[in-house]
Amino acid sequence: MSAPGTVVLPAAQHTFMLEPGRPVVMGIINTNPGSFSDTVHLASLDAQMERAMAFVAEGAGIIDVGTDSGVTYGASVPLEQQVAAAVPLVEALVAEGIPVSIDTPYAAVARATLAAGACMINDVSGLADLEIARLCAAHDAALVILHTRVGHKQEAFLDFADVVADIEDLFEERTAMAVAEGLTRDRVVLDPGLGYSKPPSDDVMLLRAYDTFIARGLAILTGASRKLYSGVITGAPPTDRLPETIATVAAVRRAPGFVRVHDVGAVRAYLDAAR
Amino acid sequence: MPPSTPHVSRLTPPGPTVRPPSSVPSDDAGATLLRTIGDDPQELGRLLADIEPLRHDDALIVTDAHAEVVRFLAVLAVLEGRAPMPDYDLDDPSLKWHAPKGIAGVPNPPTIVSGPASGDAPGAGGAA
Repeated sequence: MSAPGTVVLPAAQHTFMLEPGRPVVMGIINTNPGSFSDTVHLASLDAQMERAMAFVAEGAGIIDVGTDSGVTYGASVPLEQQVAAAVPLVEALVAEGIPVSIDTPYAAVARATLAAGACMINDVSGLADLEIARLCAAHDAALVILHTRVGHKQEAFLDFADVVADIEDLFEERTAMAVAEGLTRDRVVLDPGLGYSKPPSDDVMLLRAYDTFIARGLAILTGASRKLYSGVITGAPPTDRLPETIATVAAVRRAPGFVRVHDVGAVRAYLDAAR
Repeated sequence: MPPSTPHVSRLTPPGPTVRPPSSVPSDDAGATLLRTIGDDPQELGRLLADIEPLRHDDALIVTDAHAEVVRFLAVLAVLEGRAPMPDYDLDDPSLKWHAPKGIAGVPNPPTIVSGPASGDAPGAGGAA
C-alpha cells in the first residue's frame, strides 16, 4: 500500500512510485563540456559510466544525461555530436538496468536516445517542439515539462507579474498540448524551472509556492543543484554550493518526484536522515 | 565538501548560534548539537538533516562545518520567510555563471534580456 499523495509515474520500461518526502535522486552526467557546475569534464564513455555507476551506488535512482549545456556563454554542440556522445552512454546504462532521462530541447536527440532505451525526456525548453511529446508518446516514455519563457541557452530575467501564476499557466497549457499529441497525462512530469528565465527573487517565490504545483497530482522534478538564487543569499560560487543545494532539497522534498543534483551522495544522505 | 577555507554566508540567519569547535572551551560547552564531519559530504548531509528541526530554536550548534551550516540555515530562512531576500545586482560579476576548468574563454558573453514575460505559444523566445 502506497503512502498518501504517492504519484505513480510510468516511464517506458520503468515505473516510479514517488512518495512525498522521499524524492528520487537524479544524478547529472554531462556528455559534452560547458556546464557551469562541472569542475571536471568527463570526456570518455568509461569516465562517464564510472561516474554514473558511482552515483547509483550513492543512491541515485535515475541518471540524467545532458548533451548540450543550457549555459549562455557558449554555442550549442552540433546535434550529430550530441547524439554520438549520448547514445553509447544511454545504451550502457540501460544494459545495467539503470533508468535514464535525457536533458534536451532537441527532437533529434530525443529520438535517438529514446530508441537507445531512455525512459524520460527532460525537455528544458518547456515543450517548444511538440515532436518531443509525440516521441515520448510513441515510446511510452515520461516527459518533463519545464517552465521557461525563453529559448535554450538564452539568459533572461523576465519581469513576471505573478511568476507562480505564469508557471501554472504554462503547466496547464503544455500538459494539454502533450496529451493532445498522444502522451498520457500520468507520464507528464512538471519542473517549475528554478533559474530559467526568472530573477532570483522569483525562484524564492516559486519555492514558497510548491504546494500549488503538488496539487496538480503529477510528479515534480526540481533542478535543485547550485542555483543562482541560493548564491545570492549566501554569496557562495556555483561550484561550492552544497549546503545551498541541500537547503533547496529540504524546501521541496515533500513533493512526490525527483531532485536533480550533482552531489548525489550528500543529498541522498540528507534525505535518508531527514525522514 | 568545500575547500579548507569555506565560504562565509553574506546573510546571517535567525535561529541557532553556530560556532566552530575552536570557539568553545570543551565538548561540555552546553551545545545542543556537537558534531565533527571532516571532509565527508555525506556526513554533512546527515548533519544538516539533524540541524533542520533546530532551525527555529535558540540552539547552540558546534561543528567544524559551521560555515556550511550557516549557509544552509540562511537559505532555509529566506525560503520560509523568516529572513528577507538580500538585495542583489544581476550585473554583479560574482553572480555570473563561470566557465568550468578546461573551457577556453567565453565565446559569446551572456546577453541580459529584460522586459515583461511574453506568455506566448511554445517557441516564444526562439527556442532552438
